[in-house]
Amino acid sequence: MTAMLEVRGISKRFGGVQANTDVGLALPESAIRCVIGPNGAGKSTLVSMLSGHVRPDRGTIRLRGKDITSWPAHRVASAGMVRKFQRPSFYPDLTVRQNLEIAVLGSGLRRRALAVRVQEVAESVRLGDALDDPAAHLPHGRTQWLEIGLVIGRRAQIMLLDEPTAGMTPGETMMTAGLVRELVDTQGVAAIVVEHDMGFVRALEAEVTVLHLGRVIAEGPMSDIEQNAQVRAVYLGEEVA
Amino acid sequence: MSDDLGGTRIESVRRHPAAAAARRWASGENIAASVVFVALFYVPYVFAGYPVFVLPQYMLFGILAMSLCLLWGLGGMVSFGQAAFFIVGAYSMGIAVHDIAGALGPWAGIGLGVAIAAAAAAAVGYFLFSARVRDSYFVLVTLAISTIAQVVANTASGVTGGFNGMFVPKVALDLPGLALSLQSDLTAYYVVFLLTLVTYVGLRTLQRSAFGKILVSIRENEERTESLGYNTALRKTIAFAISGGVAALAGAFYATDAGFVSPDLGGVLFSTNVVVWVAIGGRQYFLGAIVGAIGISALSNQLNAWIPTYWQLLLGLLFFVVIAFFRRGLVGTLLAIRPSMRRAQ
Ligand SMILES: Nc1ncnc2c1ncn2[C@@H]1O[C@H](COP(=O)(O)OP(=O)(O)O)[C@@H](O)[C@H]1O
Ligand SMILES: [Mg+2]
Repeated sequence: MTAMLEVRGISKRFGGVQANTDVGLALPESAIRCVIGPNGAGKSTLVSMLSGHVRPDRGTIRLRGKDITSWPAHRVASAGMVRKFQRPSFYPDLTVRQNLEIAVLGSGLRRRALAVRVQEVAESVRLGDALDDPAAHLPHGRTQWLEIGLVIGRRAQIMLLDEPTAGMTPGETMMTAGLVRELVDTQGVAAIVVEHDMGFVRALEAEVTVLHLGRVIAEGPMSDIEQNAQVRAVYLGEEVA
Repeated sequence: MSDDLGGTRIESVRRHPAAAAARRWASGENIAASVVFVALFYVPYVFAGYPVFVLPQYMLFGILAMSLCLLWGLGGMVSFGQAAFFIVGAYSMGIAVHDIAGALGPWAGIGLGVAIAAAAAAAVGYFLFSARVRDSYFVLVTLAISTIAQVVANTASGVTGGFNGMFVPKVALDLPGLALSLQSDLTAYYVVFLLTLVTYVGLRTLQRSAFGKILVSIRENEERTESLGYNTALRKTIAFAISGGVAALAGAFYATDAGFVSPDLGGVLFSTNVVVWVAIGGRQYFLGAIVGAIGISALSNQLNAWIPTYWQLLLGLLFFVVIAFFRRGLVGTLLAIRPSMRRAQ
């Protein structure tokens, strides 16, 4: 079986910091992969390399067999791998509708089809009632959904979600897990999700990659990961203790 | 609840498409623009003489201001280089009229001016935007563009007449079955009026297009737009090229309308005027650019006659007040009043 996304041995150094070392992963069609690890483990750097925002020093990234390692971000996104940033990034002074329009225009729809698709995307991220609100007026949790909506609106085949539940209440976090699961199941997209919240990761029932000091230290289903002694020591241990 | 409202609206759109289209069209800006253009249309009926003679020049400044509005209002890029592209159009017209005899001359001047300015803007824009030059660095580079234009105009005196300037005759525009001689003030007035109207409608159409919306999103958050798959550097380059072309279009008509082109028309001072017009008129609206350019030019003219010593100071004060208290500019502020009035009813 060939994977939709195949990452081999990518590394990145920022000055004195080795942010990623020899990171690899393979993502099948319509799969979810969670990336966990303590702060500074290199999760966002990995996402930035995948999205074309940071060029790896070494290694290759293949999307459906195509080597996209040195592509600029806009080209990677056009090819179907679209990112949500860890920090908020949307258009606060535009309405929710206008925000989503920008994303959907990129998939080539115009006029009536555009409006219909915007409505559809808004509903799929639970924002159907807020289309004409300025995005800046949304409560924080809903801006995260708007950002997922932007990724979906662009017709991402792979969503790169960097901490999509940051700042959410436990209830919102679980709703977001359900939302990601639903998008993957109904729209056939795949997702790479960086997360801190273990409840969220368990709820997604996905394969997990654990990063520590820029290296992959474990990979597998969450139930195995939780038994892994090294992982418990560097990561889960902190939480349990 | 609000889903219901949305449903009702879609229903009524289906039943009365013409009425719905009319309602959508009747935005504050479209109504205000109709008022302004109808007023401009009737000026020659009411005032003969000086206003008819001078207003075309101000309307051309309005087109120049709209070229900045495209960059600044939509794209969020403040340019102090618009005069440079304006003067490319102006010299083009002057040179073409002198060197190419007959009916082709003026058209060649317009066409070449617009093409050269757009190509130059595209080339400069491509380098700037690919290198991610933005904000205050972009402003600095555009200031340099104006400075260079003025210096070149002064030194290349063999082509431009240098310091002494260049005289340009009033041309006749030959159209199939119709020759419009700009020697008649009234003809010149309506030719420029039409040009202004067409440019306005064209830019408004661009604003509503996908390109316009994406340009606005670049202004709001360029990184997000790029990460949604748009080559933002390319789009900014295209906007810069269109803007340069529109500025040159105004310049070409200005040359023949005013009859004289001098190097300071391409300089920093004149470019700054354009920024002031747009800021005072309201940078978010192409109509604001027109109103700002015509209003400030007319006001300067009057003030200059009344109080020759202090008028620039007064204008500076006005600029300060608008920047400090009415950041949306004149048109932006007026249009912002409307919805709150409606709510009060
Ligand atoms: N652009 C950058 N320049 C310099 N150092 C960086 C940059 N981005 C990340 N780093 C460093 O790389 C390491 C990994 O950071 P990051 O990928 O953001 O980790 P995580 O997302 O897992 O918290 C950190 O030590 C961080 O300081
Ligand atoms: Mg991070």
